[in-house]
Amino acid sequence: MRVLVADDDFLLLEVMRELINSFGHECRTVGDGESAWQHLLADGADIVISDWLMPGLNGVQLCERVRANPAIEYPYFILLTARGEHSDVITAMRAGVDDHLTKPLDLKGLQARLIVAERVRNLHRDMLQTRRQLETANLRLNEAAHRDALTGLGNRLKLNDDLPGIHARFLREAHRFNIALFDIDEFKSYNDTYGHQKGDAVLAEVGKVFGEQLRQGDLAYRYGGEEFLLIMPNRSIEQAARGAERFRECVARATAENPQLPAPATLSAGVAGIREGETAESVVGRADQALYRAKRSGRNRLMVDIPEHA
Amino acid sequence: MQFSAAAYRRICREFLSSTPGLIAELDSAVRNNHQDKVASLAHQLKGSMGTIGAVVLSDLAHRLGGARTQGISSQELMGEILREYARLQEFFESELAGGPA
Repeated sequence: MRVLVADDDFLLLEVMRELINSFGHECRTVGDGESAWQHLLADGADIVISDWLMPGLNGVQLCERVRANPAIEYPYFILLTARGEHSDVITAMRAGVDDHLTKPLDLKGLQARLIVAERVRNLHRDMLQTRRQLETANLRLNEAAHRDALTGLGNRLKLNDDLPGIHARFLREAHRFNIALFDIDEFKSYNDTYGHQKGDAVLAEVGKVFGEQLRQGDLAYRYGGEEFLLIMPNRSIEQAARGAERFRECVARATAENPQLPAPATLSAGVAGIREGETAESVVGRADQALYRAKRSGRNRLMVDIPEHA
Repeated sequence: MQFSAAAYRRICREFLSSTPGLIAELDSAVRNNHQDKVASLAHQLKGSMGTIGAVVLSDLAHRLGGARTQGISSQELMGEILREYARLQEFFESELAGGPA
């Protein structure tokens, strides 16, 4: 353990250093509270043993500073004091002190407290490590829960998380946005003809193209089985339609050129732009209606839902 | 609790270098009847001497700290402290002189 001892009694510091090192710890000593604080900021410590009464920053004030600073990993804090009054010890404990030793120093008492300090410090370290592992696992889980494994795009859950924020920005700052919905044409037939593995390969190819073709600020999602959704902010409906058309063309070309795929795949698409006073669900609904019209008109095409007040 | 020879010598040296100032300050405070300062320095001396097992000097310092309230002569106690301190100084110096270089 790294032990920091702060005291203005240099003879005591010398004795402490020899003792603590002889117990197998690594002891550093400083002569006042401010030096202890600077040492803790720079190097930290597992155990702090500090005199209560020192010039400048006293032991309890030092402990309060340490406990208030989240950048300093929790040290086990032992206060050295000649004050035996119960109320003083309670005050110190309330300030964050873990234990206290009275002067003149009882050497066995010091050794005993260091045993406890090491145990508690190890428990803290384990707890911190477990918490960090949990946080990392949670981040990974959260990422996995919001990503479609097959296409690598955001999934429906991610869309449900993102869309309210984009809509709120539209309401707050008039940042308009457009929605494009895509559907792979005759996908059931593709699966029936070539098998589900080839169908999955088509979905993966579409995801790859969407990922590669995304422009700054655009967001792509796998919306459902063979449906994909694109959010295109800060563009006119005409620009959005051209952007969506580019995605359709890229998918048709990529699936035709991919030697792993037995046949090319085409997309139908519907595009709609947000209107004043409209909800996010409504604009998705209008894009879906435009997609439906594209399907009814013979597939492999794009339809735009023209805004009433464009 | 057994210190290594080297550690023991370091503690002897620290005693000889850090305590004369404290003793001189305490003596001056007693002479000038600065009672708060006497109490504070005597308290420090008591703790410091107790830590290295110098129980006689630690006890004298303790008595000096409470002398004002107990009606004991601070001057007399200070005289005892100076004598005991000189004895300890001599002891530590001889320890250093007699030990390995």
